[in-house]
Formats: sequence, C-alpha cells, structure tokens
Amino acid sequence: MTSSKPSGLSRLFPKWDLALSLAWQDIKDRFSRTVLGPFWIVISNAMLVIGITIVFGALFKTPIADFLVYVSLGIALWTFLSTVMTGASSYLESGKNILFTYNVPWSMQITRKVFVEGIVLAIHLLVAIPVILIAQKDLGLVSFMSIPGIFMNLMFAYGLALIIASYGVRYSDLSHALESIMLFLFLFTPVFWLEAALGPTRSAFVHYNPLFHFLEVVRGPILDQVIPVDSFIIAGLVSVGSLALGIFIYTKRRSKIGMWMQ
Amino acid sequence: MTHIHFDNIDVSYPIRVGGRERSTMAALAATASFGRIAGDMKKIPYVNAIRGLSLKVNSGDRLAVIGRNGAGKSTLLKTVAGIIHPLSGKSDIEGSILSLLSLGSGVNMEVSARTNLKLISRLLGIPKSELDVFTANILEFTELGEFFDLPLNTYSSGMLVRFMFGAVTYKPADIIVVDEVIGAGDAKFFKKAEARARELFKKSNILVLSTHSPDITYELCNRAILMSRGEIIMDGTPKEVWAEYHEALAKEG
Repeated sequence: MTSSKPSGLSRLFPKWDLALSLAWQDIKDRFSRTVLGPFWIVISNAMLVIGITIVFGALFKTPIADFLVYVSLGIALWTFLSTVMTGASSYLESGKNILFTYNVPWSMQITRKVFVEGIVLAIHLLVAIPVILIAQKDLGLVSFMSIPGIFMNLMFAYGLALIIASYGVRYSDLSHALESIMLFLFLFTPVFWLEAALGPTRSAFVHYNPLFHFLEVVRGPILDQVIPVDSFIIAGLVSVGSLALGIFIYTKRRSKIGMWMQ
Repeated sequence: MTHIHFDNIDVSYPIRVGGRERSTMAALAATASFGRIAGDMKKIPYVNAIRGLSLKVNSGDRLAVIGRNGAGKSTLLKTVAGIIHPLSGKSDIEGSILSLLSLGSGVNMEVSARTNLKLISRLLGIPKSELDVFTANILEFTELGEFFDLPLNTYSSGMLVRFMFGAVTYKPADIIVVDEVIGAGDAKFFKKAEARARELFKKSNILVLSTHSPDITYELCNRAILMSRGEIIMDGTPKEVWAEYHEALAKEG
C-alpha cells in the first residue's frame, strides 16, 4: 500500500483539510458551554475597539467613523498575529495525544492552530464589514486589495508559527520572551494610534517596522482608497521569506521535536 | 516493499534538569558570547536509551521485543512508530504505520462516541463514504448500546477503553506497533479485543510487539529479539529467545 504523492497545496500544507476540520472543532469546543458561543469573540473585541476609539479618537481629534474602522481592523489583525506568536511555542505539545497515536504529519497540528486563529480573525473581519460599509462613504473596487493583504498576514503568521513551534518544544521560556516582545511591539506599532500624530521625524521609524506594513496592506485599500505599493512589496517579501524560513527550520528540526516532547 | 531498517542507531532523551538548559535567554547569551557566558547550557545531559542498534525487519516478520524494564523496548517501539527519531545512524521505514502504544487520546470527552468517530475517521484516513460502515462496526464491537450517543464523560473507564480500542483497531496498516498487551475492561471484552487484535495483526505485513508473556509471543510472533541496556543481545525464534531470557533471569537470581 503506497500512498499517492501529494501535490501543490497539500504538499506544502499536508492534511490541511483535516487541520481545518480540527480547527473548526476547536472553535466549537471553546464555546460549547456558553449560550452566546462564538459571539464572545465579537463582544470582547468590540469592547476593546469601542473603548480605544472613544479615548484615542478624542485625543487624536479624528473623525470618529474613520477611526473606528482604523482601530477595528488594526485590533483584529494584531490579535491574530500576536496570539499566533505567543501561542505557537505550545502548539505541538498541545496536540501530543493525536500526534503520538495517529499517522498524521506533525506540521498538521501547527496548521490546525493557525487555522483556529484564522477563523477568529475571519469572525472579527466579518463584524468589521458592516462598520466599514456605514463609516466609509466612498468605497471603491480598490478596497478588494485588502484580501491579498489578509493572505499575506496568514502566510506571515504561518511561517512564524512553524519557526516558533519548532523551537518552543526545546526552549520552555520562549513564550514568555515573545509575550514581552509582542507587548512592546503593540505599543510601538500604529495599531490604535495614528502615524501622523508622531510628528515627521519619529514617524520614519514606523516604516522600518514590518508589522506596520502588514496592517497597512489591509487598512490602506479601505481607508485611503489607494494601494500602498511600498507596504505590499515589503509585506509580500517578508511573508514569503518567513514562510520559506519556517518550512526550512521546521524540516531541519523535525527529527528532534519528538525527543523533547517525552 | 514494507520494511524497517535500522543501521547503528542511537536514540537518546534529554534529561529535564533545571530551567537553564531550556532557556532562550541562556541560549542567546551563549550564542552571542561564543559560549563564554552560559556555555554549559548547550551540554544537556542525555539518557542513551538505545545504543548502536542495527535491525532489519522485513515483510512477513512478526517480531516480539523482549527484555526487562528499562531495556529500551518502549523506546524502540516509539522509534519504529516515528515518534522519536534517532540522533545518529540510519533509519529507513517503508509502509503505513499504526501504533497502539497508549489508548484514550485525541478524543473529545464532551461529545458522544458517534460524534467522536467522525473526527477519528478523519485522523485514521477513512473516506467519508465509509463512515457509516465504520460507525456501525464500532457500535457492534463496543456494545455501548444507548451510551453510544451520550458524551464520553459519562462512560466508565472500561467503556472508554473499549471505545478507543475499537476505533483505532478498525483499519489495518502495513506496520503495526503494539506496546505490551492492552488491558481492556472485563474478561468477556478482553477475549473479544484479543480476537479483533489478532485479526488485525494478521492483516499487517509487519508486527512489532513488546511483551512479557511467552504465550503471546509463541502465538503471534515468528521472530524475537532480546534487549538489554539499549542493545539487542539476541535475535532468533521466540522459543530460543525466551529460553535464553529465562536463563539470564535465573542467573541474576
């Protein structure tokens, strides 16, 4: 019995369909004992977005509607990127039972967990759509360029997850280190503040931060109705690079992962 | 062709000592200072569970792994199952693998057996068209009755074992790896489980079984290896190997 050689998508992400159904199960499990179910994702996110919009919208003296879209997209993407980065070091350990019993590629577990956060992101973005439709008066076709932008975020996160998960089984304090770094970057990246408010000299630093460009490829086409070409180039290169590096590191370290999970 | 080839493999486990050896900060410091600071963190103590082992198992072999506790039997099985990889040496395994090393994994305790089977069928690679046959087979085998549609957390431990055992032994594989004999519930079920396991083992090309029972070895295996301190000290027919093992045990007293 020889299994047929996988091709294309299933070669790069083995068993992605299984990963997706397990991820969907994870989402259902998370809210299985609540009446509101996945709406909790929406509620907690809405609280944060509204709170930030009210306070910082007033501080930056921006039109509240624009700022609401800016913050809700920023928070949705940031939550996605930072939960993947801080959680990825325990992805493999948490799937130990399945990996040890069934004949599945171990990277499937990483794909599964990124899908879970991807589903949460999708829910946040779906909620953001009516907000955008109400707040943005002049929506053009260019807004659809946000979709490739979202895919760049997914690719970037998946690449990082492969790297972090590969080292996370070996280094038990990696998640703590990443938590501190992500908190710093949350304040350092214009997730909920406007780049212009920083003044001309300091705002240059924002452009050296690749995370800014990952937010911009989704926010730019909707809020400014233009394609931020620089950001697309940078985010595109970084996401392809992180995916390639992730696959390389995971493949290289794969043989040692089991040893650290005993 | 289904086979397992190990050539001079070493399998080790890192010993989990203090936090220092597993610290990102110490690793960064050691790397940045070329080992001058915290350089010792790269020297993790390892247990050599298997040393310089070479083994060829070919299609048709039903191999019993015999030895005292701590001889490296479980490590060898985990290596065959692909859970641990050798640190050195060559390992070449061809064929689909089913490992029965522990039960009760990958299930969701809050939903019913029927719902769990949908997920397990995907993990086992059972096509959707076969799901009904699979479900019917497990229902019949486990004799769970009305419990089949109740959440798993209402099950007794015996029922849970029956369910897990039934589910994972449904589909044959080229290579089957079994650790010890799985103690499954009551005596009646044990017979049934044995019959199912035997049938499954017969369908496989290679069986690797670690056991403490001569009877099971004689019945299921046509080859046996005796392990001691991570090495194979004898490879032969089940009768020869058990005789040697009993002798060695008698000598040690």
